[in-house]
Amino acid sequence: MADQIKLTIWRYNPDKGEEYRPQTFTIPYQKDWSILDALNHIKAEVDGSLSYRWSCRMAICGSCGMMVNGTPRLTCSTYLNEFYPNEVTLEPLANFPIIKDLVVDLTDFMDKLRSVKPWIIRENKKDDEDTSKEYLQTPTQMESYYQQSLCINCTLCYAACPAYGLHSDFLGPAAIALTYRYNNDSRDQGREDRRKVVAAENGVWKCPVVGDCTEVCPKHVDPSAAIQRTKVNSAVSWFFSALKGGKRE
Amino acid sequence: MSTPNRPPSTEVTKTYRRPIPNTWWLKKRSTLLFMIREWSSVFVALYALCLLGQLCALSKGAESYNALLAKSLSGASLVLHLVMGVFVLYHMVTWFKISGRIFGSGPLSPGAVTAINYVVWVAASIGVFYWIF
Repeated sequence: MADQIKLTIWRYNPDKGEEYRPQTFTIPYQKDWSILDALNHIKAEVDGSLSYRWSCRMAICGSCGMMVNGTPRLTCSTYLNEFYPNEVTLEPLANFPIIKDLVVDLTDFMDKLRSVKPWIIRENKKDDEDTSKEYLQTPTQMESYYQQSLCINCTLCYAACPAYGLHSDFLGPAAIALTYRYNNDSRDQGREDRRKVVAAENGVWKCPVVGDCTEVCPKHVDPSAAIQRTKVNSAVSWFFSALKGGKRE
Repeated sequence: MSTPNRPPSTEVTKTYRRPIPNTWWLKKRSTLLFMIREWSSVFVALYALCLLGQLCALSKGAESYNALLAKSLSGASLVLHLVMGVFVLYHMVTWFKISGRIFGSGPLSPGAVTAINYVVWVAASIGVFYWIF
């Protein structure tokens, strides 16, 4: 008999009135299968009602994030051979409401992401229209934000963040990392626009520096460092604003 | 019949939010260490109060300060200071590590920033030691 592996998947189907419950599947073990391959096998061969998100299968789209044995991981780049012969438990990403099975509601994250304006802002609106104009950067200028630009919005950092779990109004790691990315882009002039959001009570100051967001990031973005640096920038900005007698927000 | 050109509804009607137990921080080593760091702040504050008490006694004269020192040599006080010392050291080590993460970029690596913290701490401690003795 071929080698087998057990996958316990936490399921939820409100349309059928089902409670949040575990279901164990025993499937053939293929050492080169990712967990996503195993899920696709279950959906195609065992239970077509299983719901989960996926797309690119190469850790770029950020769709297939799940809790794998309690840790947020991208299932397309997490392989069964890491766990075999032990069982694998899959849950929807922590800290998010569950829509069905392994699919979570990301509306809150999308709203927060939009609130920090993760795009290049120019003070002069004519700059957006003039496509012939070039905005050159030195390698050093690009280096200052490159790491944070690798974020794929997979939300693993939100699932790992206890602050977001306990206070869902917290802006969260990825949104702040992207704020840092655009604030440090020499072409951008939108720092003041974003400051109102990130320096607010539910912004950077709600981060208690656990650091798990950085540990789970599949792209090594280091949101924790971005948050702490934003705290420093925010405090320095407030200090000089207060010195000048400016308005304290 | 559905209206043409209307995108499918994305409204989520019934979701399930998993409860977070009060013991969430015991499940992972990182969150356990985080909570220890948070609680160590209490001992840092306590240590600061002890120092303020010493300064207050010193301002009242030698007799008052010596009386406080005599009290500080009791068994309970020594145990308290030992516990406070351990937690203050732990607090310091964790924040030195975090400062590396915050300020370590470009030519100055996180490890170098943390190392600078330790060097300054040792230098300041030696300076204070020679100043007093």
